[in-house]
Amino acid sequence: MESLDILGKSIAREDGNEMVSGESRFVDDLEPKGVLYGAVVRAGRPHAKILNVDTGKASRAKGVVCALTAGDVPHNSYGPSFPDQTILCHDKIRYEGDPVVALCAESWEEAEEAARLVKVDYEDLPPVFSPEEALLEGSPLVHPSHPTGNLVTEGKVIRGDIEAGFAEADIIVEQTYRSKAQEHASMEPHFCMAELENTGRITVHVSTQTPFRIRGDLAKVLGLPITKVRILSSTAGGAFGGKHEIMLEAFAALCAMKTRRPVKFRMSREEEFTASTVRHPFTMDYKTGVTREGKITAVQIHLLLDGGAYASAGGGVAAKAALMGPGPYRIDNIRADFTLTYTNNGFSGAVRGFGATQTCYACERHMDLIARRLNMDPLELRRRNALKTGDPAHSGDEITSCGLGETIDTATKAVNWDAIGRGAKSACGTKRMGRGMAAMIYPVAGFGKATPSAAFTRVNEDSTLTVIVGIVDVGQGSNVVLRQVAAEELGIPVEDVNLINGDTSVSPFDPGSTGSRISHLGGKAVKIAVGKVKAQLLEKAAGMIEAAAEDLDIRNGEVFVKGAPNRRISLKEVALACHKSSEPVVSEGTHTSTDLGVDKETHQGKGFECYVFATQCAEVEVDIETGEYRVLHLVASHDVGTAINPMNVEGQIEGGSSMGYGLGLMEEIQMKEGRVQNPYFMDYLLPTPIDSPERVTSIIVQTHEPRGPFGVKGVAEPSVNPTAPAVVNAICDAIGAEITDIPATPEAVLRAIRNGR
Amino acid sequence: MRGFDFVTPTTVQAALKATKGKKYKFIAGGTNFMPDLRHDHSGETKLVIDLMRIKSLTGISAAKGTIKLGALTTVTDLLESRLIAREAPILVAMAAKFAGPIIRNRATVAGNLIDGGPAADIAPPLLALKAAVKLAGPRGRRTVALDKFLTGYRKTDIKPGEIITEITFPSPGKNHLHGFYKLARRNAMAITVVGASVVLKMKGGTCQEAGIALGSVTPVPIRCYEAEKILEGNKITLDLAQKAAEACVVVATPIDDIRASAEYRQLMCEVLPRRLICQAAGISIDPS
Ligand SMILES: Cc1cc2nc3c(=O)[nH]c(=O)nc-3n(C[C@H](O)[C@H](O)[C@H](O)COP(=O)(O)OP(=O)(O)OC[C@H]3O[C@@H](n4cnc5c(N)ncnc54)[C@H](O)[C@@H]3O)c2cc1C
Repeated sequence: MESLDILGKSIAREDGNEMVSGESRFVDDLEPKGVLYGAVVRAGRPHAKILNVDTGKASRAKGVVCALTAGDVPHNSYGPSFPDQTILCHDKIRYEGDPVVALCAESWEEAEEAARLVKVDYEDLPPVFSPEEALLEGSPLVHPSHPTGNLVTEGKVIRGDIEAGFAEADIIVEQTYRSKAQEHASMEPHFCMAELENTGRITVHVSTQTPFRIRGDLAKVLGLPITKVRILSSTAGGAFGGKHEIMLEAFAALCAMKTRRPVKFRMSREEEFTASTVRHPFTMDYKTGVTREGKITAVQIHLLLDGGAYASAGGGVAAKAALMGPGPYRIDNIRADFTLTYTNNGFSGAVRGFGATQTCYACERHMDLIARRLNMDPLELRRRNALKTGDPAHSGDEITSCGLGETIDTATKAVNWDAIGRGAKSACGTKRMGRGMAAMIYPVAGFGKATPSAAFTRVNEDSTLTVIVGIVDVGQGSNVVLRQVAAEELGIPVEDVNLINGDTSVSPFDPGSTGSRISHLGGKAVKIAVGKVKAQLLEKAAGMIEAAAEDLDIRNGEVFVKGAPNRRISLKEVALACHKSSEPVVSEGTHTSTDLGVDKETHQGKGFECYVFATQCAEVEVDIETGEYRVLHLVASHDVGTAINPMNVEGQIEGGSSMGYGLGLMEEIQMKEGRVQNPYFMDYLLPTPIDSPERVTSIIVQTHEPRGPFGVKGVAEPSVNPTAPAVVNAICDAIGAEITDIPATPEAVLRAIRNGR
Repeated sequence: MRGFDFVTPTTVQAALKATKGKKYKFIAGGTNFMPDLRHDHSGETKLVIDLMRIKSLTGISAAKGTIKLGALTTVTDLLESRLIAREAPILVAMAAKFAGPIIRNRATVAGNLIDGGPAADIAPPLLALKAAVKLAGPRGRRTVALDKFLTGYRKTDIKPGEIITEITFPSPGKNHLHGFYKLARRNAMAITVVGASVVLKMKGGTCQEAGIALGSVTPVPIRCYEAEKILEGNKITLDLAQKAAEACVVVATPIDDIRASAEYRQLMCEVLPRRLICQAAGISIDPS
């Protein structure tokens, strides 16, 4: 392992103070002269034919400047997987949030008032709300032109011989698990502002994870070349997978082009629930064969996903869910099928954890069920099957670094596994104590194909470094991380690295801040680019101090001869010398993994860049009369590869576990006839600080990933996954009964207690 | 949302006068008013009368065994009042579970009662304390017992042009016992799933007078008269607490909603009063 100066240090992110003091400027804080404000007319019904759209009265309303209908959209078709979405609906409504008219006015209030004046005539169509029903012969079709009806897509993971595996088993454990729709609940809802420049270029300020996807999709919709569309990604107040496709950008751009004035659009909190993506509700059938000694011999999984009205990223979500579904265990015989359906519910899409969150819950709940059937400590069952470095992942590719065993050991030790839980009575007669654990495997970066990042670098005449990337920091803290990587690689202080990002007109292309890929792939691109300028500087320095370039290194802004550190020259002098002799010190760095690719039929091959692992343990106290519970201690031990910035890693673990806690215990978008019943924070309950575990212990397990820059893997998404199963397992341990569906509300817990008796 | 006139009278008389012949609404803390306004596109309200500057509607006091809460008493006032901590600690227990600090700073007692919702958290403890509502209106002043004031789902006995001026209740005395429970799906900022309040006036181990009330299980919070009678005049035992709890279940008519099922609420109508009575009386429960 390299000895590191800057990596591994908890350096504060540069925007931290302004974020907490409220000084950060978000899109909504931009108020250029003459700006207009938009509002969207949405269907408010799940399935209908549009008979007529009348914007007459709305267009004449006070303050209204422009109203758009489907006919105003040059190319009215887009979608993250395939184009099944329209910017504005023209013939048909597929869910309650479907947009029909977008208009803008001199104030938010006037725009919203005018939106209520738009008259749309509908003819309601028979709807379909459950994925099971959607697949039945003769069900109403959400997209009549989709070749496979309401089946968006299906696929399977096949490994080994599932029948032979079951034949080897002593017992077979079967159970069905269900999870509900979860909202990203970013503090900052979707916002964007578009401005038309004199050159005809349209600039869109937007809070997004994927500026280049927005640029590409928006250019297509507008019928413009990508050079005429510039995305400026502004400070983001959270994203979590929700800001990863176009939502409002086309409305703003089209209005700006028509009115030649800047135009803002925003989503209300209600629209966040009713008109943007949510986490897919899953039904998960698990069937596991296991020997009496606790060796898992076969796993068969079937996943049924409610995709809602549009495919969005659903196919990828389903496949990742299936590939991670067997969990972090060495299992030679696997069959995991997934089925993604259309319904007239709100549409599901990318959310932190990308499907693997749901299957992590089912898998880990199922492991406890198996342990109970075997009368074995759930810890022992997991230890006996845990993956190790060199084992194959479920896509058959070799796991190049695995710290799972260490996460199991450290998490169970920190929670004091042997001494807690198991239904012990607490001092108060109505409470029972429980312990639970959950382990996890999660892949880094998008799958089956390379998703390279790229970086431009320039060493300035004072030896400071400018790094330009297309990578955006949506709150996860990647900016400071990339600066640390650059500083480490060049051998200069972090303060001397200036990172420029967020402008598609200057940055190299980037696939986006998704898939927990930035530290690993963004880090790699930055490291490669910086490595090139470093080589150039060393070459120059070599001439200046009469040594061979390969004998030189840089540390803390000084070039020195390795082994003779007194022979040195400051990097400043070297940079200035380059500058004076008109030798630009610039580079571009990128890396495309060439070994990625999976077989479409079996999903076998090289699935991902690398894998991270984790174990979380929970200690809970359950009130057996009311079903209420408190988590006394949550321990989250995560293998992240090299931790570039441990404080950031802990932040991700704590934030992620809170989101996982919400999914498992509290959060649920409640649907009735295709309408969200709780589209606001009064009844969609996120955990507050006093609901969250009373104590959270984050443990960072560092392994060295050979594919990563400096051994780095990642952490962003996976921190969400093991929390729900760890806590629900602990509740089940306390009450001595089984819960299968989440969220496990107090009412659900009490029902389990009463049924279990 | 449409525009309206906004006036800020400083006396009850001026406020009453302002209502004459107008489509008006009062606003106190505004924590019900403002969220309601967001969804009101009717434009019917032409005048909003702010009560917050009327000094005579503020303050917490005690005189001759009666505790008085000015209509504008906020939940934070209840939480921080030494007088309340001494005389009616059940209101402190309630205040600590009410919304979160920001809402508590504005939410008033009168605003909570006027809203008349099934989940109004201040109502059950005040019902258990046998509180009364004092009103001033075009026809003068009157007093109504709180259990008569709350008439139905989001309905109260308030008449057009009337203002709540004060809420009063007899001091339950030094030796009283109390219990408060807010069962909700979150520990703060949550709407009550089932609320229960118990106030027991004790003498030598015997319950002299009981006040028991439930929230969120009937169209409007209610007192459980039968349950109170079961306890009154008796020494409290687990058995008696169980009987009183069963009497609570009888009056509950819970519904299914997005927060909980009727079935769960029904179960809690027994569990919570039993628990509160037993805890107040120092009786341990072991349901295993
Ligand atoms: C985020 C949030 C959390 C909340 N949490 C809770 C909670 O935990 N528990 C709970 O019970 N409630 C809760 N509420 C509801 C609300 O805060 C309370 O009901 C509060 O007590 C209302 O008081 P107010 O002064 O704000 O009423 P306002 O909104 O000012 O008024 C409400 C109604 O009462 C009328 N009114 C007010 N004062 C008088 C008066 N003196 N005479 C005549 N009419 C009057 C007004 O005209 C209006 O119709 C919450 C609200 C919000 C927004």
